[in-house]
Amino acid sequence: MTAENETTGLESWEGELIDQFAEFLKCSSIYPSNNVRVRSARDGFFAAVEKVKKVRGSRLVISLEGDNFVVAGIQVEPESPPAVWMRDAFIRTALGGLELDASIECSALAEFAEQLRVNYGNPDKNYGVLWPGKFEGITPKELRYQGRHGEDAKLAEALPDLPDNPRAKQDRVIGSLLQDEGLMAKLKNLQERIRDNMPEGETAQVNLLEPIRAALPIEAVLNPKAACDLVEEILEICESKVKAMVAKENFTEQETMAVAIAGIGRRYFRARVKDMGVIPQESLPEGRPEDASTLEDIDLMFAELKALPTWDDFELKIEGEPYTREALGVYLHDFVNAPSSDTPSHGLICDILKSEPQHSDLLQPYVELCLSDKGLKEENRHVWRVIELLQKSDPTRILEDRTFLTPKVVQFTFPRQFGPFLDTLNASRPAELEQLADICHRVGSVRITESGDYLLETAKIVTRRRLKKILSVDSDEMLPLVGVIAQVNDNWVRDAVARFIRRRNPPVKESAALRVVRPLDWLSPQYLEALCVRSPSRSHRQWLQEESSRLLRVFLRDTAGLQEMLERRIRAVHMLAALPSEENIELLGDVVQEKRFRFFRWKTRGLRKAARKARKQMKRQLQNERE
Amino acid sequence: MMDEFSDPVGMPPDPEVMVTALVDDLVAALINTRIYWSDHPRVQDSCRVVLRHLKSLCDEKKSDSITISVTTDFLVYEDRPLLGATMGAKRFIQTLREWNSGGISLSRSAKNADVEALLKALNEKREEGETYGTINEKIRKRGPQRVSLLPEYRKTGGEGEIFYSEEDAKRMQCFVPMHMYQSVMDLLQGITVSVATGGRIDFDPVMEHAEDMLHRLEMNAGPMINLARQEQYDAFTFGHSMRVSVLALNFGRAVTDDKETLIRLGTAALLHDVGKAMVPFEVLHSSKPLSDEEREEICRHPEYGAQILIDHDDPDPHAISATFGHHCAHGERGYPRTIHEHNISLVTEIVGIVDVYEALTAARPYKRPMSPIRAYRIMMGMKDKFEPGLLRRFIEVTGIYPCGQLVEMNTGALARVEAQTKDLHRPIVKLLCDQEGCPLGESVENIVNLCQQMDADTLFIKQMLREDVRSLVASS
Repeated sequence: MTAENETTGLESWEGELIDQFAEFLKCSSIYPSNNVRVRSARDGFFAAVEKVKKVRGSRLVISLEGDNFVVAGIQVEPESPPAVWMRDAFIRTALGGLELDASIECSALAEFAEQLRVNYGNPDKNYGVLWPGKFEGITPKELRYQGRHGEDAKLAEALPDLPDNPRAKQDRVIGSLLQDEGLMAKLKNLQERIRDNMPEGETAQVNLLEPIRAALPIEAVLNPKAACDLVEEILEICESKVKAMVAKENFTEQETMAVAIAGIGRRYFRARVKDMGVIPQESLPEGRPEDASTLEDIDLMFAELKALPTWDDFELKIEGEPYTREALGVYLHDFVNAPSSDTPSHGLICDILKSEPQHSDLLQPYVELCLSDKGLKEENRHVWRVIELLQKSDPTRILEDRTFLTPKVVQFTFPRQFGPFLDTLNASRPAELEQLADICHRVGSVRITESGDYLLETAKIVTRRRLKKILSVDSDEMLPLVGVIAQVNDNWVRDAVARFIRRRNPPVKESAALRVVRPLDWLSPQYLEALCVRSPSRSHRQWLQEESSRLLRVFLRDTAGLQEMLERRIRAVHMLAALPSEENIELLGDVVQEKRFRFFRWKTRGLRKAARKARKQMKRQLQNERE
Repeated sequence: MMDEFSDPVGMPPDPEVMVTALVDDLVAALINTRIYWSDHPRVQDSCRVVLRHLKSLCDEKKSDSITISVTTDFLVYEDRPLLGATMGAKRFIQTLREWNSGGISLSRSAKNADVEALLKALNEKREEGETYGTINEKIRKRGPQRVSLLPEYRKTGGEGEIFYSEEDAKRMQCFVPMHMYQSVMDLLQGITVSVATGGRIDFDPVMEHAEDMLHRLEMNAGPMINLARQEQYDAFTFGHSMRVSVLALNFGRAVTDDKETLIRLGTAALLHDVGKAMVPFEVLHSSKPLSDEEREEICRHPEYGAQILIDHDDPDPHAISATFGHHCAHGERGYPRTIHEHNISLVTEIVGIVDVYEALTAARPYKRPMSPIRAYRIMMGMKDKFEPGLLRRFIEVTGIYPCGQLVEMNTGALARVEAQTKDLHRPIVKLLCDQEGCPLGESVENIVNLCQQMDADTLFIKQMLREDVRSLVASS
């Protein structure tokens, strides 16, 4: 607040004036002019005007500057909602303010308010259109932003290369013509000829500069000097044309001559400018300009339209079966084409199938594709995702019939379809068990081993039912798969696996422990898994032999004195004999020293004898190896 | 050919409209420069458009350069606020403000490279301490300064208070009048940039825009439909989607009263080409004939689009389906090909019909627009592409003289089509000028149902007239 305002308190009067005026305008924009609210607001406004006039004089100026109003030079910040509205209304209607005379008629005020209301919704923002005139005692002012750019604006201004305005260039050409005495003489001569040949009574001013100026195409004036030369040439041509025309007496008006010159000039320039190579040749789009609005073929169109069936009762609805089926189709397509099966489509499909299982027939083509020869092609590998999805959540049991899970299919989709395949296998039919062996053969040990985690954790092939089927196949082809299963550290699995390996009769040396060690949980999963390797490497066999030795030693040590184990221990000693090492010799020494049993003397003697013999054999063998 | 800014009813070009258009062009070029690399045809073309309009304006003003200033809320040209300024103006003001600039100065002799350099600099991330002067310096180093940014714009006299402040900037949002057209374009551009850069789509604004378009159609369908028939901007993917949405909504209004249905239809139409964001730019906007691989890539845009929408948490299934299926056909033709027999719902069917109609009747850089009659004949020839009954209904609703179309009557009067009637030949028209070219006022008497003429020969449409989008933008 200024010092003056502080003493007079004028700001509040001026603020009141703005509020009252805004209130009046706002009410007028809502209610008719004779409404009590409008009348009351108008009275309030007049009262506020009187208060301000007493101090500021009879003529009041209200203007909008930035965010604030200025009343008689005093800034008023619009605070009340109507005042804020009035500021917006002023801006929308390009109104910068008002000058209020000493006396304002109510009717003028109402007219102004009505005009503001109309202008508020007018998309045209041209001040001249919005406020064509003044009102009695009220003069609107245009909203202007009179400003300047900062101090260094001059430095920042864009600089033209040359005065590039075509009209300016044309003017420059004319200027050049005027300075060229020879040219001007020709022009003057030409003009006189025209004037002389005018019909009697015609006194029109002949000025050939104007038609020449009009004839100059923009392209021609890109080079003013060249343009000047061309104009001179034009004039020469025009002169000869004028002579011809005069001879034929077929021009009577200055206008005709001017048009003739313009025509000649334009044609001439166009031709020359092309030579100058300055006409930009833009490539135009296909079609004709009038194509958009042509009515050609309208009858044909109507005839064709009539041939179409009518659908007058068609009503657009966005719920219902077609939409669900369409969405399911989109999700299915996305599901089989996405980089990974882990896509939101998976959940969306499951949701639909769960709530509206009748739509699962849409999946049938995918199943059929998988069943066909095409299904086993690489490009359709992702289609099998649908089969997996169905196997997990198929309320309609599309895949109940196992005929589609052929060895070829299972091999192609391995390991994903392997679990379901096991479930559909009839273990009582040897032919089907052979199929299982065949699949393992086709898939190969490498892929089986690589898929170990999936088979155990996702496909969950180690269930009693599935394992029984796997282990009932009497084929070495199953060994890689059994090797995977052997990783499961459960006694029942270990038992079953060990039995299977024993049945397969692997090489004696490496599987020595397997044949005698009991209980089986002494055997490590790694040992069983290693026994399933069909073509072990040298180091692999070495490890197996060492592990066998260790297990046999542990067995012999832990069963010392157990009469019921005597026979098994003797077999263990025999087996150990084939695995010579210092540790084994030492252990066999211990066995030889074991105490004798009273009732099984001949048997314990047999154990010691076997141990002694084995020690000797081992020592000899080691001696030989050292030598 | 009609002049760039000429008014069909014979009004002289309005410099303010021209400046507004120039600003729109600058913003379009600014966005293109942000999205594409500098020698991309779209950047080059949009810079050319800027220069063309700049020259027209300089010619009109007989001036060698144009200065546009920035105040609190407005662009100011010759001390007058550009009240008809558009959404583009808002972005233009924001961009200049980021560099503490109060305006722009463009010389008539500016070249493509000058505009491009300026826009490129404006798009760069501003380092601390950098101002408009930094950009000017960069431009100056290149050669003659034919384009430049100006210092802050201050009030004349007094202390030269700056026209804008931080507080003002917050209010700017509600002050700058937003035109629906620019707003939708801006929205679609934002979606495309977001999708192309791995961002997310906010569906609420899309639905709000669909609702806004519906509202405007209900208020006055003519200008909206007519706007939808124009092609002015380079960014034809965005413009196309917007036009498809307007046409779909217009057709939808004839076949349902349910607002929610219409909004969802409009939203689906707005998003139907969202997958094009994933098609390489050089393929999508190739000026050369496409190879088989490139064609295949373009044909994948419905799949890409569906995939993009599915990856969101809350997409409308209708938008997904329409995006996926708008190029599917009932028979063997169409794409994408699916293993199952794909069901096409009516929403998708409508979007598909409108998509083809728009493509045929819109202008493209490589082709001129086609008349509705020709477009319909082609569409009716696509035997298994559309449901015939629905196509017939669409033709009847859209008409051969679409709403908003400027026409010349047999008497020489000018009129604008207001609504269709049962007789496609005889819509309801609003007479704009009499045969002498004198404008007719706003009166009910000037709205004529040609179908109800006692004698059909008394008044009928003689021909359709073309008009420019600028006048429509200005009046919308």
